[in-house]
Amino acid sequence: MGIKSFSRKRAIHIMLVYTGGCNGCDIEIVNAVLSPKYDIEQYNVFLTWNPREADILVVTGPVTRFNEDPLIKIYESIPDPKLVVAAGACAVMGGVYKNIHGDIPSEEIMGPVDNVIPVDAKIPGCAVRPKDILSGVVASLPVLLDK
Amino acid sequence: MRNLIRIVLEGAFSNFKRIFFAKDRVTDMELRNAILNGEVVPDPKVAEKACIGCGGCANVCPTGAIEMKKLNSSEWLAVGWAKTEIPELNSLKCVNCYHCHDFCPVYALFGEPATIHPNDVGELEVNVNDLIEEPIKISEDKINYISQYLSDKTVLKNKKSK
Ligand code: SF4
Ligand code: SF4
Ligand code: SF4
Repeated sequence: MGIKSFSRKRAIHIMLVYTGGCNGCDIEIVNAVLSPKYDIEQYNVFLTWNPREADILVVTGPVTRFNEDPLIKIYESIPDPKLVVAAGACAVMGGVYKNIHGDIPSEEIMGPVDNVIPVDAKIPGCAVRPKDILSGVVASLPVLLDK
Repeated sequence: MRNLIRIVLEGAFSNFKRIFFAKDRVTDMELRNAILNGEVVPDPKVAEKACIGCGGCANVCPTGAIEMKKLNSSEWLAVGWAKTEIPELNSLKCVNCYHCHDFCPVYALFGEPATIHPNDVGELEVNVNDLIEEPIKISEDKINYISQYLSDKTVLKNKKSK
């Protein structure tokens, strides 16, 4: 094991990006990361707001037109290797925002996330359950460390 | 001075216990093990016993997340009504719009019959055969109570005129 992967294993940083949606998922994710019950730091995973520091990008929301470019920019400024986790029905499927108009497509929704950037893990739910986020992120760690 | 020393020592001791013996730990160890072993799965969304197999949920779902799958052995629920299939919900396609829950005649998706918040309210035990023969009726005073909060009173009017 090289010094890089050794130290990385001790401090995985996730960055949370909101791209529309109702904020329900963001609340769940921040709670999951910070609350004593779920406490993501016990798995050596930390929250960051700096893309240059991030290893895992967690995206919530259906990616509105305004959010498309910023999301791509953030994705590109994360150093390799990186993983993208789409969290919540919005990020995975476009959620109610993309799917409840019947046959009228919405021009404001560019998502789901994998229309915009490549996605490595998908977590269902509206909102996502903290349990599912934790196990999704933890399950993707070996993938990240092997990259 | 004595008190001060006592407080310092007690504090040091309880911190020692917390750090080295994980005392007062609030993190859920069961959950931690489940996550590390990859055992966390989405909750079941379909009450398979309560479902009468009408297939309506699969028709209303806007994202095609529900597929009806054939039962190994179909079951007579009432004269002229056999339950031959039950829905299977693909969580990755579902956008949780609850159309299926609202549509289902027995509210067999996402939890118990007629809950206020339909998501994840536990196990459900009903005897569908009995319910089809004799549906549950809401009592008159309950309906009157609920009606204070309704903007649309047509249901009540129709009920009275019957
Ligand atoms: S998936 Fe649901 S809870 Fe999450 S952002 Fe979309 S609408 Fe909100
Ligand atoms: S909640 Fe909506 S999207 Fe999910 S299965 Fe039901 S109808 Fe389909
Ligand atoms: S609408 Fe309800 S009763 Fe009908 S198939 Fe779906 S879950 Fe079963």
